[in-house]
Amino acid sequence: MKKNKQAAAFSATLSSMIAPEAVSVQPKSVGKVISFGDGVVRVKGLDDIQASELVDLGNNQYGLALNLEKDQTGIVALGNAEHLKAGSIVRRTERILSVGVSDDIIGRVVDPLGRVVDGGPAINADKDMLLEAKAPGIMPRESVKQPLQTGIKAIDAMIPIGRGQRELIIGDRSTGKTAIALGTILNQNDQDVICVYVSIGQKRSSLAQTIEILNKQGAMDYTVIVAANASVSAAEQFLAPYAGQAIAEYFLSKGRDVLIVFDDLTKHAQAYREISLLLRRPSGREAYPGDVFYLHSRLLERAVKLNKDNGGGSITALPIIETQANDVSAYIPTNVISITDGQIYLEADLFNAGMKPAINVGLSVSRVGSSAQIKAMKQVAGTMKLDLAQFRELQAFAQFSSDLDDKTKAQLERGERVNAILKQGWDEPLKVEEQVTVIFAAVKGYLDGVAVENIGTWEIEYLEYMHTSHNELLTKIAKEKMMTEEMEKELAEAVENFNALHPEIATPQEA
Amino acid sequence: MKTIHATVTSAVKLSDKQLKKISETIKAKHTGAKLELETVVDPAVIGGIKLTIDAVEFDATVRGKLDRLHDHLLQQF
Amino acid sequence: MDIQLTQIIFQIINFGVVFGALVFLLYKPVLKIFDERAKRIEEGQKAAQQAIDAQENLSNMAAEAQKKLKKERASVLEKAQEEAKERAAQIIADAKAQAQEETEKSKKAWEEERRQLMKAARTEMAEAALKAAEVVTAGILKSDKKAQEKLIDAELEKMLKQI
Repeated sequence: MKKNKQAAAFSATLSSMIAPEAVSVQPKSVGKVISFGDGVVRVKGLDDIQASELVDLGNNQYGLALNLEKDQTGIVALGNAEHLKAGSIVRRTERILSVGVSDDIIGRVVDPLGRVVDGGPAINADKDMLLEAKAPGIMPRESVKQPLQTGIKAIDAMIPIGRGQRELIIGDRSTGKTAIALGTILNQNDQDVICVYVSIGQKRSSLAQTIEILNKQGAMDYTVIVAANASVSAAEQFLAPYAGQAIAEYFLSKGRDVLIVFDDLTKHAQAYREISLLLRRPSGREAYPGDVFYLHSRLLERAVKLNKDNGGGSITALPIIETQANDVSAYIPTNVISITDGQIYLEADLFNAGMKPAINVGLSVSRVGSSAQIKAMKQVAGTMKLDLAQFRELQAFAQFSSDLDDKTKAQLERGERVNAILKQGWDEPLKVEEQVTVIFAAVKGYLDGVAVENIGTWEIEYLEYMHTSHNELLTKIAKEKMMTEEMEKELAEAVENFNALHPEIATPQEA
Repeated sequence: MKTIHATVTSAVKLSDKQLKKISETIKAKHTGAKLELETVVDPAVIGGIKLTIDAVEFDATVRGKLDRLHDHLLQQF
Repeated sequence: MDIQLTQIIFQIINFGVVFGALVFLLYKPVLKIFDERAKRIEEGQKAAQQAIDAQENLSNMAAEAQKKLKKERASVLEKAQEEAKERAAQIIADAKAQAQEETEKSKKAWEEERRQLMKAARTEMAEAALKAAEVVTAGILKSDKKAQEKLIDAELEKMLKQI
């Protein structure tokens, strides 16, 4: 008896769920595969398909309709689609490409279609974010005012980045571009910023190392990784930055601040070039298709700072571009330089000479500038860029004449020490108050008595000393974000004391 | 002269009467066009009939209905 | 007798001169030497005395220093013990908080698992029902030719209206 009742209840539930429309016959748009090769499916039919629409290739595989022509459609397969044959039927899904996002995605590694690749449970999507969304218009935006602290002295002092800015990291291979981006992510542990790291065309081993480092430092608690490594199809590599941007926009809509790193856009452009050439689109300069500028501009325009009426959130973008032989006038580098709000220029010469991070401060620029710096940092680093430029000029001059007057010699020595203080380990980010105290000591001349080789040790011991003996001063600077006259005096005394206490690395100097 | 390619798929062979009905309806809809009607017998569709006219497909097979039902139910969960 | 008197007088004068010379050249210096020696001995004694005093002083200082050290050690020990107690309390509090967090996390994880299981159960039921429908329909249509024909005719009617 019970079984019958159960069965009846079961069938009742099922029939309530089955709406008659579910089984009615509707006309469906289908296409027949004419040719399939190199990941590009040419399909006859599919007359009313939309651009960038997902196409069901059967066998749970999907494709992206990119080329809509009069008598055929060019579809790029997302995956290998080995089951396709000439004559196979493919169907529209009537869905534009989107990725399912929810708060659970933080700490996970996903592919550009939103599927998890870190072996954990699938993500329960809260919202479906379109990959190709329009960038916010002019009125919802606000000027960039809040700093994004990278933890790297050279950047935070002279090339400051603000929340909502696009700052390009550009340099040759192995100059430390990814290191700067990762260092910035590591420094966001107490800044209430969600980080998205998009890995395009990178080696799986490098990505595994990166994930391990982020895990070890606890950075995965606020980071999402979108992975499209070198072994996936060019179509997935092409979609990866847009997927990362869609995930960032989910958090932006909740009023959060997001940092997104694209590593790197050179490989992204190359993947797009591969797809376009296979789709037989006309090629232009360096064999890139004609819309490669639009490829990056529509991506980077989605990095915004929204005003309070629209949630007050922000997306800061750090795209990475790899140059060949320092050639910043190549096609893709010039494109992205003209899109972003400044660039951080890394040089192999500086890297090999031991200057790490190998940032060329003269050529690097941040178009947002000091409006993204806290007042304390502005006070101490205000003239640093100019001083370093003068120092570099003097350096060249000093190589010719050995007989210098005292003033020039003093300037040279000061410049050398200020330059040396900018060296930093990539995984040793400094909080902004620590940076302020170190730069204060450098520009006010308290380093003049320290030998240049000892500056690294000096900095370590100085910071330790400041944390043990003057921790309240540090917290005060961090809270008030500026330095009053008496705080400056206190700081000066602290540095003098430190120099007096450590004669082995510093001879006490007068300010 | 436009040519319309149409395919009829069913589990068992269709009678001539049924085929005639199909070709007449199509010809009536697209006047003045030539019709190429192909018949396919595929037991995998279990029952019913599937008609593909150029790029549009009408799937009234049992297999097709079961598949649609399957997708629909899964969506509900 | 005259000669003897002069001789005696000369002898006396001679003796006087010699004696005077001796006193002048020998006696005084010898005295000086004795004096100096006595002075040196005195100084030596004074120095020895000073050394003894100094040593006494030092041992006094050492004793005092030891006392101070013992006091400091005692106070440092006290402070360390207090800090250790505080630290222990803190650790216990942290551990409790963490344990609570863990239970909450595991509760959430268990709920999530439950949800997944329910979802899986429901999907399985639906799949099973569909499979059953498929098998039954296939059976009917295969055995009964008439049923197949009726189905095709019905569907054809509906479809041709849509075209």
